Amino acid sequence: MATIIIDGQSFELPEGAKFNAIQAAKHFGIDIPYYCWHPALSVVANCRMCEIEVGTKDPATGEIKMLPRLVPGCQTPARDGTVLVTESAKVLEHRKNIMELLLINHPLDCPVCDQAGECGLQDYSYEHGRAAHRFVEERNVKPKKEVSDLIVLNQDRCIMCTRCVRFTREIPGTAELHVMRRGDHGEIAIFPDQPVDNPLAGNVVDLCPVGALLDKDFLHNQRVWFLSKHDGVCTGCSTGCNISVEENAGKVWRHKPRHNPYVNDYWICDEGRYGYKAANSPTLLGGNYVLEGKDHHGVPTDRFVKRLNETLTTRILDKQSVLGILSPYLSVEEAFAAAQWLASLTNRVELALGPVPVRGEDLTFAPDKTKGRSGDTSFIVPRPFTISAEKAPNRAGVEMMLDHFGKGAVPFEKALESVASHPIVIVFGGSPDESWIEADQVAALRKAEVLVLFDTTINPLADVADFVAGIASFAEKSGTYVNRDRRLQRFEAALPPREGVWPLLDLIAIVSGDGKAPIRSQEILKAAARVVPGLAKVEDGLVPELGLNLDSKDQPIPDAGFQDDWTLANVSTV
Amino acid sequence: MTPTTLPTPRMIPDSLRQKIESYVPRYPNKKAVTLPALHMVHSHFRCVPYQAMKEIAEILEITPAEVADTMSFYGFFPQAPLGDVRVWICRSISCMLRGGDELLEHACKNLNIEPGQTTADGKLTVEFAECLGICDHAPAALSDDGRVFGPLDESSLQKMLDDLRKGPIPLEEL
Repeated sequence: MATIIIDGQSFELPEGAKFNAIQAAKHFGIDIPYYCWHPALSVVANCRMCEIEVGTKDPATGEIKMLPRLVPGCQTPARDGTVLVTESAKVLEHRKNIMELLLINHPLDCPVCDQAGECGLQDYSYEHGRAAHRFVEERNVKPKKEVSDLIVLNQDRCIMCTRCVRFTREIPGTAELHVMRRGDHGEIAIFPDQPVDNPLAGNVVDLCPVGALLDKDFLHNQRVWFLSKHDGVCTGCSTGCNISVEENAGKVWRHKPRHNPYVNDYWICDEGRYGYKAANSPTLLGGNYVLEGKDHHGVPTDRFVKRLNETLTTRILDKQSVLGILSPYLSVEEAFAAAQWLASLTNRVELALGPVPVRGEDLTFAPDKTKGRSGDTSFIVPRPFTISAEKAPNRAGVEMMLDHFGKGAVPFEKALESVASHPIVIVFGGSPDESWIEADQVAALRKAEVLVLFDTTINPLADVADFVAGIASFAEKSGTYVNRDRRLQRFEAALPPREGVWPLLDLIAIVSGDGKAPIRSQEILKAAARVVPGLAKVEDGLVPELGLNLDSKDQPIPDAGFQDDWTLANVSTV
Repeated sequence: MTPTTLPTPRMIPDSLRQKIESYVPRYPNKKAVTLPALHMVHSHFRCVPYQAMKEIAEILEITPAEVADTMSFYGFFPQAPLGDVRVWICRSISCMLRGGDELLEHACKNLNIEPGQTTADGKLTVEFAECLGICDHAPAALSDDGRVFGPLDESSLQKMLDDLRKGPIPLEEL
């Protein structure tokens, strides 16, 4: 057993962990401040914020020998017998001095800075710095510049931690950013006419511990302390990146990555990052509609449900059969509830999978310990990041329901051929993209005598369906998705459902008369786990924070869960 | 008519390109040749412009930004062409105490340029240096053809400038 002594207390290091002093201390609840260090990037030890007193304990004599000078914690391996002192007068005085040095040229423009409220400089200045500025000489003012169409660099706020430079070199490997000149004249820069252009570019904004790199899409839109953060899962592709969906005043303002070492590590792609816009789209369906003559008329939910049930009951008593189409954008719970409802209507029901959008090929970034790395990499566990070609979040989960209630994952094209034999077609959509269905597919579905659509957007199918029910968008519902690696992941609703619109789970409960809204997705998952064999692992309806692999057991990851403190500030539990 | 692609104009001549490539086997990876390549390009053009950085990056299979990172770290590599001779006048402590700053000012005034600039006739570039390591000659100067000057005073400075304007003495190939 490896024992480490931190501030006079002994701790047992977890088996198999390759921690540096910062990680080890954090593991036992002790914070060592840092800026330039990041768990996924190589160690360069250039901000000097994490310097502490380090020593070793002789196992034979028990004598502790301390190094005479302070050393960077990010570079200090936590081994058996390592002694760390993080709160001595010497360390505290040093932190004060480093903060003063880092802030010498800082403009102190927090009132107009987007980073304010989630800023490493603000947090540490308050905690470790001094209140007064002693520097009377002229400040070295560096320019503001654009490093890409979406990212602005306020060089005057930069502390030259070089996280962004290391990120572009080590993770996407595109190395667009560099340090121009050196020392006091140093600046982060791009090569002329070669902006930061890679699918992961937006992550440099999240990495920046200060307000230097900022997202122009979010710039001056919201103060971050007004945002409520909700744990979400990205619906942009089948990777299922863990994201924080941040909203205020009924609108989603941004997506930020959440660390999950089994899925997306610390990153998200730009497509997922800006995918939040669909949640605020003006083309979301605003209620329930019934086709009368050539026009759709908005009707309140109770009348909509009554008319829908009357139509379905009459036809089903007539022994007409039903074709149900479940989109891969439905959550596991929605797919379960929908399939269960359809199966309860009649035994003459056929189920099929909605269109699964595929674009390009899977794109995997597989950083290793050497490529592009310049500093110490002994504490890094490189993890790949994949952007899937399959642009839907839950094909695997919906297929489980099709397997259980139907005859497996009947593809959409095949379902279209069988419309002729089913007078009733019920489509469950949910794609944030209003062009999810093609004109010829709409025409094929319209051949049905009764066409029912549950969907989120005003789209070509909604234009012709007999019954159109608006349902909660991806940001307005909670539930679970099963990603490409068959990992079941839970996501929370960030927004309440739009006015006049129900979450699909509630609407099905009302239509089927099976339950009382509001329905909790956890209860549906529990019910599903009782009957669907693949879900047996979640019989209590509880999904662990990092998700659950439905097929195999996860290897434990000792360093999981490390995230910069300043980005975690102001987490809402609402 | 089918559009034809124009060949990308290149700045680094083939001979220099081959010379850079010949250095690759000496190092553990291609990126490590960045600094020798910068030196070779610098001694060929007497500057390292952006286009040359781009071409070095292409040869060494790295990005232009990485070359610019290394290039801009060293004050030795200028982006605009130097004069025929480049001279550094030292202003570090030994030279400063013995009048280095005044000599630099004097030289620049005499040539009608600012430190770091090149004379209008393109013959001479004057820069300051943070210690040339020849404190025994303080106040000292060094020209990029390898000549050491010092201890200097106003008259020997004038003689040095006149000498330097005659052009460089032959320099051994890098």
